[in-house]
Amino acid sequence: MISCVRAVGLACVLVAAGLALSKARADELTALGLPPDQGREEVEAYCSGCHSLKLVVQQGLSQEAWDELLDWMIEEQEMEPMEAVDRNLVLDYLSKHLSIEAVRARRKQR
Amino acid sequence: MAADKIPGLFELYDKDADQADRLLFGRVARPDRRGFLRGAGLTTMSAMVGAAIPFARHMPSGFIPVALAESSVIEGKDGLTLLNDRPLNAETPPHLLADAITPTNRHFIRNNGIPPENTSPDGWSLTIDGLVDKPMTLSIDDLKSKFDVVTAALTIECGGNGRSFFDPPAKGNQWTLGAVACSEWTGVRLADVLKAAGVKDNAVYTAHVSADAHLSGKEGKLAISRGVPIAKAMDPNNLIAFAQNGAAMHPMNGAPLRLVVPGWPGSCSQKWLTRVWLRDQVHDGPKMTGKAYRVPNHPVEPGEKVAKTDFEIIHAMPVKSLITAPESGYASADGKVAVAGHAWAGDDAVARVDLSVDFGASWIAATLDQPANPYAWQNFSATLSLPKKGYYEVWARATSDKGVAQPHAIAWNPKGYLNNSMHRIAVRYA
Repeated sequence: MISCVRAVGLACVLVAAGLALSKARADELTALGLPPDQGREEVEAYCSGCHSLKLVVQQGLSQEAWDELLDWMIEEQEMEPMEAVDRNLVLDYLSKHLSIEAVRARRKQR
Repeated sequence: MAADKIPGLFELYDKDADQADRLLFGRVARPDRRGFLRGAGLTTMSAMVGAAIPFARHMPSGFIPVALAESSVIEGKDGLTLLNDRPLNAETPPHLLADAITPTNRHFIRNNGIPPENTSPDGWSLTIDGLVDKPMTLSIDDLKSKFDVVTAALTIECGGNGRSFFDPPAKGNQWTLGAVACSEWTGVRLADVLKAAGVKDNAVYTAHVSADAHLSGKEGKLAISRGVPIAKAMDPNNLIAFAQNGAAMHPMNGAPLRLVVPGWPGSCSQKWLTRVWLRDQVHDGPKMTGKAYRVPNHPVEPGEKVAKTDFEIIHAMPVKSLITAPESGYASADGKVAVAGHAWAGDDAVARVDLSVDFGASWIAATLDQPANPYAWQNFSATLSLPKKGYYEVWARATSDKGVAQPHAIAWNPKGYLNNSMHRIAVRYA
């Protein structure tokens, strides 16, 4: 099994090298509930190392709660600490697209 | 207001339910909080649900009919809804849980980590150690030959079943209704095995260890390790199970060996069990500490911050019921509706199940079966008559033998556990 740490590391390299998501993958992410925006590639890279993005898109949290969740994953769940610039991108993306309001709106469509 | 800025129904209700009632349906709240639907508004709501609403006068103000709010493939499972594929989590739609005994292919899956690749019973071993007189390591054949083998129908419900109805939302898998099941499990009694090992006087808690790996892949890190107080562990209804419904257990339900600790959160029923050790303190393994499987020790306002020291470990699950027939959205041609489902109540039994077709204004007692054995869910049924054509909701309310009934509203808690609010289904007399 590829360890989470390695998978995240690999993804970071790809992002750092400026390799944008393929069109097909970008469409998959949009369909999953992660619309195109700044930070989406970082979300995919960091979050899918250990668990499915399906777990991410089920959530609707405040920025504070997302921040605490990242701390919990780093402190207790073996997630590699993130560079500040990446952490901010991830946090901004999650807080904007998977906010309490966003999940409320999505629930009403089902 | 520009055409593209017209707010949606739910957006309006979120902002101000009473005003939305007036705007959309001309409904004015009466002092008793029942809604008052006037002609045009009632027509609008009826058009939206697809039928007249005979009991509209009983609908609370700000109330949105469930008809407006509703709408995987795993080997060996049939019809489950996939919530998450890593770790795998999948639930069963209520109408597929109609069987008195849940078939293996309909039993929900709740994984915390990565399941072991090898789930063969050959070579599997279980260690009993910690505060026991005689630590033991047993094969599955040893368990079968040294202890009574028993079979029982046992209800397992995930502690987070119903979390998706929490507002503000709670973190975690957004279970709706189907993280509950009652399969027949065959195994040996946990209590018999612990007695054979000799429980020392200072043992207060069990600690359960399994072969699944942590999501990070880190060697030796446990995904989950929970336990129960010794008094609960010694209850004769807990099994160390090696068969499900008379056949091999589904790998995602814990093959080849698991605990079944019915009536308590499913996480107490460790899957892929390799070790039970007895401790002189409350177990502090992964998902025993912090806020995991814990609720505030006092009622809280939705969204309230709760001090970590105010959380306590969940013990028994609350009284609850599920309507498995008809499927929500059913249309009756003659006004008769055959309703059936199950009810369960943690460590207690269910004394009665009542049904309502008028938004809780009146209740009809359902026929309720005795459990097949302690901790099996109980089946209920009734044939309801709808007085005239229109839109109805069937609500089910179970009451335990301790006199505790299901609530209308969710007792909100930060982690989204123990939602035992009443199940509602939409029914039309067309």
